[in-house]
Amino acid sequence: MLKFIDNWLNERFRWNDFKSAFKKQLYKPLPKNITDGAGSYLHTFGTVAMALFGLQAITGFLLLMYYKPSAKEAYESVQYIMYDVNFGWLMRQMHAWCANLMVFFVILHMAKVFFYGAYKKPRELNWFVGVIIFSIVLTFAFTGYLLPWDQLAYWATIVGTKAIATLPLIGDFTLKLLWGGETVGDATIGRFFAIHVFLLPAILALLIIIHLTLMRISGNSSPIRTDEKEKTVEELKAEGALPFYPHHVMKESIVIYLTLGIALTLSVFYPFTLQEKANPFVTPEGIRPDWYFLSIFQFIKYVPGALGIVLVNLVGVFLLLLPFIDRSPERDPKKRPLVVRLGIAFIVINIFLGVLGAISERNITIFGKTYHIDIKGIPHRIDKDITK
Amino acid sequence: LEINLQNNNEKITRRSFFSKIPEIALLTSVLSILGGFFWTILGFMIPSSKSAMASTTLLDIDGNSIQADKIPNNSGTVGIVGSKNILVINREGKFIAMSAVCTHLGCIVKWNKDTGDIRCPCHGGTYDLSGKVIGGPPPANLKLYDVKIVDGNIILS
Repeated sequence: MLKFIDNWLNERFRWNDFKSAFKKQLYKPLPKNITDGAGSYLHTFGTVAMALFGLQAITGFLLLMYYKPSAKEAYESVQYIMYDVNFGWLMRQMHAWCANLMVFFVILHMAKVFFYGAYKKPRELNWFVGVIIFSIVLTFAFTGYLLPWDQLAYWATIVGTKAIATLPLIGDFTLKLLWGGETVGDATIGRFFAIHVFLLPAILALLIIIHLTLMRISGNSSPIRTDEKEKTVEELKAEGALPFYPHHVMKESIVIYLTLGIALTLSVFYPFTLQEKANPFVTPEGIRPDWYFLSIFQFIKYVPGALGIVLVNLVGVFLLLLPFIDRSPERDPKKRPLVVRLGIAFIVINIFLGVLGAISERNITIFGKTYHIDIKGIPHRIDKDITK
Repeated sequence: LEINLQNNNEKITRRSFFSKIPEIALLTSVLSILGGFFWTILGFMIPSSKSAMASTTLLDIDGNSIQADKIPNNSGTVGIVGSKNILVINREGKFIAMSAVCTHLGCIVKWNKDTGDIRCPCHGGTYDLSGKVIGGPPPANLKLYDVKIVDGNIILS
């Protein structure tokens, strides 16, 4: 029976050609650095991010059935999803947590590619596509953040979009385009919604296809110099390299299942709560963005106005052009001490700024002493003089 | 009519030139349609300007007029006039109105009766009663408005 279907399909659109092309990709031999040792698990992050995108598509599609994109109804519809719809809480929590995990894994994946020099020739173009994917994922997160329409969502969006408006020339126009009115309101939720559920998924799906195709064409990177010849599929096969399936797929599955477990645990034990409904007349104290924007949030406190935003964007442009800036032939991290140190410094600075952003404008108690962390992240001891 | 191109030996004859016309026409039409699309899309996304309302009365979030006697002495209320958020402060019976939108990043400022100034909860910008910046990151002063009380309604001009 299977044979019959096989033949039938083959007579119609050369099904066998597709099948053999698929098998060739499935059993493609991988270089040793991808398959051997515990470090091989570092090469699963991209797939995990992609799996999370798939899951986001499913939970997002389901949330769409009940969510209402308007300033009047959005908040109530999210409440309805959380408290009345069967498994509504699970869908929303998984959507929110997997969004965070997706950003996390995309960053991990980028860090891996950076430290292993995999962005270098001949993979510059794919790094370029990857950075664009990263920016799309962040736009996904930013547009999705507004949709529950609670106080935090509303004011984080006001502050986030206003920061763009400080840009000279295009700032005001861009702000008007983003808001669709005089302030964040019905028009804003409409366009953020349309972008979040239609435009971005289409773009991201397309970019992922390009990303994977380019990756498959160039093959997985090995830590050799760019002027050394990489092993061909035949050479890898001859030395008995392990195939993508089932060897690497197994590892990817393990990490994906672990991630799913983590997402479920977080959804159950650390659910995202809804704050009060958005109120355009009252800004709550200490609003801050999600963790992946915290370092930028803190940075523009020190460098206010257009300069800060321009600098942040320059970092983005720098990332985009990285393979054309760092053109040394070495890929092995041990042989590129300067670039590796700069990369580590960049990550440490981001984490440091992010932590400052998270604790600024808050009171914290350490060893029985209470400090007020001011807006710039400087602690002031307050338990001596305040007795409330 | 024969032109020899330098780089290749392809000859453009009158016939081959005219045979290209349908392609050129198609390309031109597609480009102009895309251009028109772009313009229309941009226009569609930019809010229409008729939202600038003529109303000068301070309203609450439900669109009801905020009465002057609902604002106790030495306290402030945020309402909306037209499409702008306005902070109105009752200072010993004298009403002061200014934009409630912090000029830094657009948070809503609050009247702080203990310190007698206006504070933004987001990044600590402070303004005095004339809307002037006295601390923090705001790049500009808050716009001040003249206030009249007509039949208990708060009217701005």
